[in-house]
Amino acid sequence: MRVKNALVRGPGDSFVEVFSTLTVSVFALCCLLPFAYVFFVSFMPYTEYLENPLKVIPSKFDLTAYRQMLGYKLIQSGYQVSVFTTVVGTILSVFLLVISGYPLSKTNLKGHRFFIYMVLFTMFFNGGMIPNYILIRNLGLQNTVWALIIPGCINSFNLILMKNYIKSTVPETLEEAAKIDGANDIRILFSIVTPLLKPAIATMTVFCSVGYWNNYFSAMLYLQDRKLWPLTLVLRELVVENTSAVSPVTQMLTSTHRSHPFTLKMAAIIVTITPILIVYPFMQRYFVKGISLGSVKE
Amino acid sequence: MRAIPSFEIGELRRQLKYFSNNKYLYLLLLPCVIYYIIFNYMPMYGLIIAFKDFRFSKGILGSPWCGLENFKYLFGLKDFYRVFGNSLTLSLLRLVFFFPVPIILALMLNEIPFLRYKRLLQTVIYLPYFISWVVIGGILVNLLSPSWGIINSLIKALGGEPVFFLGSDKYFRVIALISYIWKQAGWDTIIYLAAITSINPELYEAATIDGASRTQRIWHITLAGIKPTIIILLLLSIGNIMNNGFEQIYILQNSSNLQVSEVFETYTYKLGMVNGRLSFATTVGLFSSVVGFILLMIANWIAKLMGEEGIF
Amino acid sequence: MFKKAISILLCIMVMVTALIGCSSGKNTKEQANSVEETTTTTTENTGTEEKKEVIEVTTILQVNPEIVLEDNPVLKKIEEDTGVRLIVEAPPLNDFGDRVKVLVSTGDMPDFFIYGADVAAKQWAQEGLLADVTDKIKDYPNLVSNISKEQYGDTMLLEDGRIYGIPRPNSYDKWGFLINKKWLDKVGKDVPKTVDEFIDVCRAFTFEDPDGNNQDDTYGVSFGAQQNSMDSGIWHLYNDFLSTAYGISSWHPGMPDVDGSFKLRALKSKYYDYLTLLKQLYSEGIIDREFITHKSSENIEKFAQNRVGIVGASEKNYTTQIIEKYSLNPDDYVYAPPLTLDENSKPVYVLPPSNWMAFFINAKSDKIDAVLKVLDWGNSEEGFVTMQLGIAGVHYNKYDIETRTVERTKEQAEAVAKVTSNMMAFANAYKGKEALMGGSTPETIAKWQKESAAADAVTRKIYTPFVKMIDKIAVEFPDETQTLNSLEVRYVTGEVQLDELKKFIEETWKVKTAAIAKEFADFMAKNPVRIED
Repeated sequence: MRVKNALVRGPGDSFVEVFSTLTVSVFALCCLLPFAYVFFVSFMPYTEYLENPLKVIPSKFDLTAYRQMLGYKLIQSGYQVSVFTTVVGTILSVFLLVISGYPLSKTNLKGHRFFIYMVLFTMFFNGGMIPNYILIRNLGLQNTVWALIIPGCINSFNLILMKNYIKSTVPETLEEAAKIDGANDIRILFSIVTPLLKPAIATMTVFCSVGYWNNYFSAMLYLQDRKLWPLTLVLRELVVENTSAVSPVTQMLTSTHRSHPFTLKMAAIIVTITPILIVYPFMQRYFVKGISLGSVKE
Repeated sequence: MRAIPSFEIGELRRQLKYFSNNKYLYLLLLPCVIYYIIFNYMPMYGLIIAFKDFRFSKGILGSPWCGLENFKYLFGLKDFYRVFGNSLTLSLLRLVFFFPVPIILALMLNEIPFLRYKRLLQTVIYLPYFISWVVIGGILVNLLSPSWGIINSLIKALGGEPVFFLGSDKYFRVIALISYIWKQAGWDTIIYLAAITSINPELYEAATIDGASRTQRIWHITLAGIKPTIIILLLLSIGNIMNNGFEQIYILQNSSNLQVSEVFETYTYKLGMVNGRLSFATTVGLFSSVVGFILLMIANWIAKLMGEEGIF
Repeated sequence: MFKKAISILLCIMVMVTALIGCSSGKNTKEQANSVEETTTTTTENTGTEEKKEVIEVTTILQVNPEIVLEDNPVLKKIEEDTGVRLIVEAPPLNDFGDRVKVLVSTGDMPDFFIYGADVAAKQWAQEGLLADVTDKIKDYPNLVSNISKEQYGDTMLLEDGRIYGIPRPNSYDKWGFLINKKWLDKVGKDVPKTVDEFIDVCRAFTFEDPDGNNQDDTYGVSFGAQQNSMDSGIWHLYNDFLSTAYGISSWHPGMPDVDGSFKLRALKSKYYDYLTLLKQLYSEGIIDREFITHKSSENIEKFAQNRVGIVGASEKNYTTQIIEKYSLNPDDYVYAPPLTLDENSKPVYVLPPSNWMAFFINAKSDKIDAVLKVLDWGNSEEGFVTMQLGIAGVHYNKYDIETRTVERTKEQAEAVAKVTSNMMAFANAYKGKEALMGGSTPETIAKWQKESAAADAVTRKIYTPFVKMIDKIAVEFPDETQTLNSLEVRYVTGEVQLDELKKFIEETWKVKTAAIAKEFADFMAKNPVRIED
């Protein structure tokens, strides 16, 4: 196989490869810049940042901001809540996307258009904060972790993408064969269709988990108890300029004990995105694949 | 009660048979339908605030009706039309210059021969998505500063006059566009990459045997394979034309570029802040939703006319 | 037919979900009832073994995220001293207003809550949601003594003279400027007193390389720019040290014009002079031109970075908010009072009554007296000190209310940050002064005392009432407000000629705002300013 592949390689192939690699690398370098900046500034004493705001490499790694942040009680509970809502929410979300995306991908199913309209409509129209609050209160979900998980567990955008992916990936012949063998739709979905959806499921896992991880709005609206605050909400609070600035108590502690809010903000970003970054490669395997050209399959 | 004509009974029987044949499909859809009814459609009555004079003490249902008063106020604002134009300009610029970028990036990523390096690059380009606009804005201010920024140092080194990029309405749109690509494009490649994985590898094999060049394969197989995805995302972006993303614009906006940087969202936000009317925000939201929805319908219809799949 | 089947299905589902909704709604109501029943039950006080009546009061406060509310000693102290147990909800500070608005509009308003006296509060007062406390205040001595009549002007939300909330008193905010003394020495100049001297110093700071790095990278002054409201980028308290010389204070419309009359900002006699001055500074390049892009405190940052030599500063906290926050050497910087136009006139501090938000009480609450009792306690000396500094002996060793100095260890200072803050406190000033002033080291405090007293000695203080009708301009004429802002800024940056600005003000803006201008002048005639030399 290799030999055959090599044989058909023309000069155009090398050009495309070199050009693509270079272009994407340059773009990636630009993208790395803000992240690297945030990363290094979070370890930099603020005075050093002040001297030169575009300085990237700190003279020494200063952990004050991280130490200060991890000392807060709310951060610990926030981590637990965030991990719980993200894991449970993502599983629930992806499951719902698969089971609803499958029937929606059947364009000949009666009522198909109605259901799609039903989904699309909500992408544009929603009742707003007050009715949502009242709904969650009436359902008794107020001030529970479920208020962070259940509202928003089906994202219309994701559902449309899922339906679209199933439609373009799953060959109908496969399902028909299974139907002739006497399998029902549910069995077909789980034993035949789902294995083909790995890339889509991985993508949706990324989208849903990032969505849950970054969501603070539901927490703001539906929670009273600060112990249920997810991490993002806690960190967002910690870095508000005026929360720490106005307190005479904090005024008395000079910068040797506390980080400047700016450094804290940068450290907060790193603390928030690290878990997502660790999980990402496991999902990425499924949708960033080896080159399919020349089909060196085995 | 009239007797039911027999042909209708036959029809009903056929329907029931269809239903029972497909009962599992409907069963699979049931949780989704229930979810949408409870969490999306039950609170939908909130939209009527747009037609009401909202009173905190009476709630949404109890507040008195005021007809189209809120809309009259909105359309009566003199600046409204200029701001509306700014919004559309920015959205169209994004459709033309931003929308293709993730597609091109995904296609290029797909052509990179080293798997590990490719994954690394993909991870790196998705990173900026996680950095908030406030921080990106701070970095931009430092980069573009006429007195201290790197870009202007370069310009000065090359003998040019420093440019006050953020303080002038000439550069606002370009900066908004470039920074949007910077932050968002990498993240958006994920969808296209997933779509590329669904392309049957045998197609490439066949094309290779037929002597198709690399670029031809990219064009006729990869791009053609992700076309349905591209169209869906294009339709959704057209439906999204009224949304410029409040945060980014607000961060890059200042009094001297207000002429072009004031978009629908920032303008109505400021008005909402000063007049404090809850109904106003809903009115604005409803207006942009209706516009977006109609545009989506039209775009979908055109897509279908052109023989494409469309959303439904 | 199929549609019928679907619609029947949907109907059934809607009914089922409605039933679920109703039944759970009933549950929450029952829960609410049971909570109410327990609110006034007697609870056992473990310490004293005697049974004591405790009233539970629900509240929304601004609480810093590091504060722990469970077993909070300050809340316990409130309960001991007043017999009121506070059930505190602490919403995210970033979304505080949204959360409060949702709770108010869904009937979940607590017994009392903190909020700013803005348009929303006004609407709540109009709708009768807020308790009218006008006649009750006199029964609470600390609410009378620690909050002045002028300060209550803030919570007179409607034009009926009634008081709809208890303000959280704050100390006066005086705006002068901070200047880099090292730079002054380098260019051989004195701290400027007049606008001309100021321009002179700005030029020197820009062109004479005051930091000695042989690079053209410094400016005289940087301004703050207001971004989050309908105000244009050139009006900011940070700029008041300069604009008050022209009889204009950015946010305090109660400043009389040079002839002693009261006019709207754009109609003041030296309005064009001030804008022209800014235009001159801008075109000469001796101010940091980027000030129009500032979003928060970039001007302070640039000052701390030694990029600019002058920055507007608040007299009461420049040591903590600038010098200590950015770890600057106190000896290198000097605080100075506002500028004047000529040597014979006095610098002016414009001082409206100072509050930091206000406490509003639910009109439907049956515990209004308990709420007032707690707020009264918070305005007493003991309550004030407890809420600001924690428990005596635990969080501090000794506190002198006269000199506002505290003796506490580093550990105590860190411990109190988890217990209370001035954001959570019911009063941020006792008899006009905050709990701690001047800085964290005796040297800084001494420097602050010296400089602020020196500035006080030479300044004229204009005490103004709360002026609320000015806000109506932006509400009623949003487009004109925006146009004026845009013209002002573009005149300063040189994109628009003075004629165009003048024409707009004379022909459009002045006409539209005439009624409000009259209302304002009438109000000022009834509520005269007090001038202290």
